Amino acid sequence: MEKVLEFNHVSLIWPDFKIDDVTFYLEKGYIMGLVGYNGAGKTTLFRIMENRYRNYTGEILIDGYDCRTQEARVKDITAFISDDQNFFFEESIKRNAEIYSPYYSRWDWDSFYKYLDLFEISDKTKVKNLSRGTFLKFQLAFAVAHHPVLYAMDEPSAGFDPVFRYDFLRIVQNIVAEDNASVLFSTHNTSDLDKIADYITMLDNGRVLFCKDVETLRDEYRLKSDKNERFRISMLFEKGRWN
Amino acid sequence: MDLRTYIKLDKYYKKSLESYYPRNLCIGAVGMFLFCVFVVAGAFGMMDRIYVFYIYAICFLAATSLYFWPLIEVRENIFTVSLFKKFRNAPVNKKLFARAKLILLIRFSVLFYLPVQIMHFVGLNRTDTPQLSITGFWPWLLC
Amino acid sequence: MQINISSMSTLAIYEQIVNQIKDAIIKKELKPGDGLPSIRSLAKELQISVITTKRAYEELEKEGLLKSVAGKGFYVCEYNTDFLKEKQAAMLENRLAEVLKDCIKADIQLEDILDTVKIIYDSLKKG
Repeated sequence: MEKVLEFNHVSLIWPDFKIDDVTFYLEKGYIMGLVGYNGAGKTTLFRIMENRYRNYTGEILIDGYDCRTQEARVKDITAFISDDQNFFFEESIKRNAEIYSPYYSRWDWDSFYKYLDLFEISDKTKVKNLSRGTFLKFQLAFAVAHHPVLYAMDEPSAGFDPVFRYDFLRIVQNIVAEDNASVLFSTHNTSDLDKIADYITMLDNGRVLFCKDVETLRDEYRLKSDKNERFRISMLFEKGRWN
Repeated sequence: MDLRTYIKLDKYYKKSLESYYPRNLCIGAVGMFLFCVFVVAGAFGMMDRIYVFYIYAICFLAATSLYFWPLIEVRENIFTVSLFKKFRNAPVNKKLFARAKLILLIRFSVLFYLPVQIMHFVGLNRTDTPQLSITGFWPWLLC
Repeated sequence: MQINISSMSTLAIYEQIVNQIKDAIIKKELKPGDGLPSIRSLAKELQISVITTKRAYEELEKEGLLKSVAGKGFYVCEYNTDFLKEKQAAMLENRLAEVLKDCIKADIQLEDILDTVKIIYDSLKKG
């Protein structure tokens, strides 16, 4: 079993937030949903992976490379997608791709334009002029172009319209299938997770409550529940029903 | 990727930043050009006419942003902190990245800044108003 | 072969898949040697996790109906005729029970039912 992402006893204490002994892993080729109430620490985990916060204890490995000490290597094979990614906002999409692409070992212009076309984004648009949803789509196109092993997405679908949200899920599944990539994404939209998540990691107050595959969660639910309802991931958030 | 590649990429990046160059450098470039003209004029001993000096001063002010090109580079490199931010999630070897910028900075200084200063020095020595030089404090050290 | 997941069913998703594939095999819609869609493509089609489709296939593999070929996917095993016969019998029993339930609800007596059965059976045999 190859682990594409490993959190090993990661802790970070800060006045504003806290990450407490977070340990979990994701196998290659699977999609993991990261859930938790607001403030549980989901965004913090992504930022730690991005090496924005460096003084944590423990280690994070992506495809075996340490996020803290092998940063360039990690960023070559990981795509971080979120609202607060930095680009040259005054420049066009094309120019941005031209600036960044030489640094990636596996950049592929064909894929980049294939997805830009799919999302109907013009490469001449300035990045600052993209709407939130389009900005995320651009990031996805940009990500696919460098063929990462892991897509780390922080609330990607929050800005999408319902039509595109459906497409987005299918696109993610395609990418996982075609590229053998893996995906970690946080979301409040649990119906997305019902459709594509293989594993769910739930955070609460900076701690991992559990990290389980969806079938195990379903079985556990059926054992605990007296109703014969179909298990949905949103049920994890009903107080009193779950630990 | 080795240092040479980082240098090449940095030059390429600077050369074609569409928004940065036209807006920030146009004025500076024009001013810089005129300033250099006057530096050369000074070297030929033409700086004593007061109106020439005024034009020289204006051009200098306009060129300030460019004249201290090394400082621009430094400024840009401080913006490299912001530039670093822009490359935060790119697979960049930060050490080589910074080193490439430093090398280009030094190279520019040597190739451009130094000859200009030399000509300036020559010009100052041929003018009656050396203390009016606003381009550097070092002439005082030598006078 | 179409697999449909019902959100109303009390069965788990993987159980529904297992049952539908079993039915398809019994009904000869899937023949020995036929390849099934990959766990990923099935997952995508049904909008569920690969963990679920994998579980369904592995369940069928355990029951001896499917075999997995490394690198290629899952294929239908050579028929285990006894098992199939059993399954077929069970399926028919269920269908019969459904019909009988309706008959009882309609207050039809057992003798009338048996008579009707004989008539229909005879006509089917002839035609």
